[in-house]
Amino acid sequence: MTEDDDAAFDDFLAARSTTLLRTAVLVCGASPHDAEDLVQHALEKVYRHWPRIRHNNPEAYARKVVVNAAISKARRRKILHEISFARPPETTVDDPDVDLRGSLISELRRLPARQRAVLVLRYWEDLSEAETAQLMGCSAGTVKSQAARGLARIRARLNPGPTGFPAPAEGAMK
Amino acid sequence: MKSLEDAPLEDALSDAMRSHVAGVQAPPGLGNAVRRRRRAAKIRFRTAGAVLVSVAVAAAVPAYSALTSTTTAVPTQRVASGPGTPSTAQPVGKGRELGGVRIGYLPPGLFLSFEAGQDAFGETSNSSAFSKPDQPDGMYAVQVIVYRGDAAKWALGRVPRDAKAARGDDERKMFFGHFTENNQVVPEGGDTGGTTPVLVVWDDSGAVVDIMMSPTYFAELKGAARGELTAVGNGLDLSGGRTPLPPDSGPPADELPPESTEVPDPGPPTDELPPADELLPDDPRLPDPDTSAGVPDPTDELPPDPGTSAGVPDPVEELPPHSP
Repeated sequence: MTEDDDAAFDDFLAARSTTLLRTAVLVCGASPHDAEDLVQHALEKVYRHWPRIRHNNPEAYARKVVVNAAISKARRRKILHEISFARPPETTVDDPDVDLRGSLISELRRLPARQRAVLVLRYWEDLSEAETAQLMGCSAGTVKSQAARGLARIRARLNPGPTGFPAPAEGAMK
Repeated sequence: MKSLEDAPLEDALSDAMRSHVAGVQAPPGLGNAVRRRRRAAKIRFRTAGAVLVSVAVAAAVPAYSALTSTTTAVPTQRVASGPGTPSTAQPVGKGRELGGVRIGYLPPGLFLSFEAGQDAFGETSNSSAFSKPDQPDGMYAVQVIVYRGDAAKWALGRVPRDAKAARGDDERKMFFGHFTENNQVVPEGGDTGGTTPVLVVWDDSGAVVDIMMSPTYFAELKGAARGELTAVGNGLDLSGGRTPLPPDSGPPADELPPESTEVPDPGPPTDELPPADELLPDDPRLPDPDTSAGVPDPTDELPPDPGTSAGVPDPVEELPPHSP
């Protein structure tokens, strides 16, 4: 690792670390503190290979490491959660004062880890279906179906009545 | 914020996620933390490798001897050291010259338990561990690591800039601290649980030496532990191991017969360190611990592994550039 490599790594962190940390928070559903530990671990892996990957889209590599680590952590957290706590009751948005953002995040956390990761990458990272598919190691069709199922589940839980949450218009899926 | 009826769910979700993480910021010390993790991982990797090699050699040599020897094996006899005299390693002097440094003094009763070998702690490093006869295999009482080159640069980088240094013999410098697993020094008065007492010794010869004492042995020696560490530090010959010892100190330890106790005596251990002076802010040899060149990593030859999550095996090289 040369001084130039080290300086480039610092620049990379300055530009991307906050985004990576936010992605980790959303995908693993952990606190920022726990997510920070996860991101540190993932970035250590990036740092190990930095001289070779720094000229070859390190951002995509780092995002992939972080998302994979966050999915693994989310699965472990889910197991621990299921052991430690009873399943919370199904909640609906009967009270109009309930904060919609909070409800959406709560429902996002209840999704399976990979489904949640797809939604985060598609609607927060703003990746295309093809980019998400490459990062997740699946087909674009799988991304599309996972995103649709995730949204449908959130919609059903937030508003299970006959009117429901308005279905997305044709082509609304990016 | 749009209502459910006003906005597609995708937009509402995107808005909620953005709002949820708006206050999350990467800490400014993230880069330092990542580098510290990397260094700690390297040390763990090499220590584990050294232990494995030692175990393999320890198992292979007796097996080979048993297969090739036609005479009855005679168990190796350990040499007991009297109180107040340096121990003699088994065989005598073995393990006490490493990396161009000679260990002139060791606490009484210790013998060489294993040599970690070349570069076990970074490029251009050597290590010997000394144990008490009643310690289980793999445990050490005192371990000496000699760093040179890049490894020395890294080793010196762990010493806090604002720490106090004590001058020992020959203008050498010493720093004592309790080091965590991540090679961080616990501040004075801090929690030393799970740490290792280490005396770091260096001079202008380019060698940096760690004298580590096992926490158990450190507790066993009680108040004398610091003095023993200092005595080992003062007893080091950092001049390439070729400088003859003073006439009144007797022959070198590795030239003594096993039963001899006439070995160089650097003087009784003392807890009283010479006057401390400010360490290193101006020392040009001290690299920035956050930017010092890392020790070459054997795992660097491995291909990048972006993770172990199932179903995400494709190489990153195939991913297109993207900036969300």
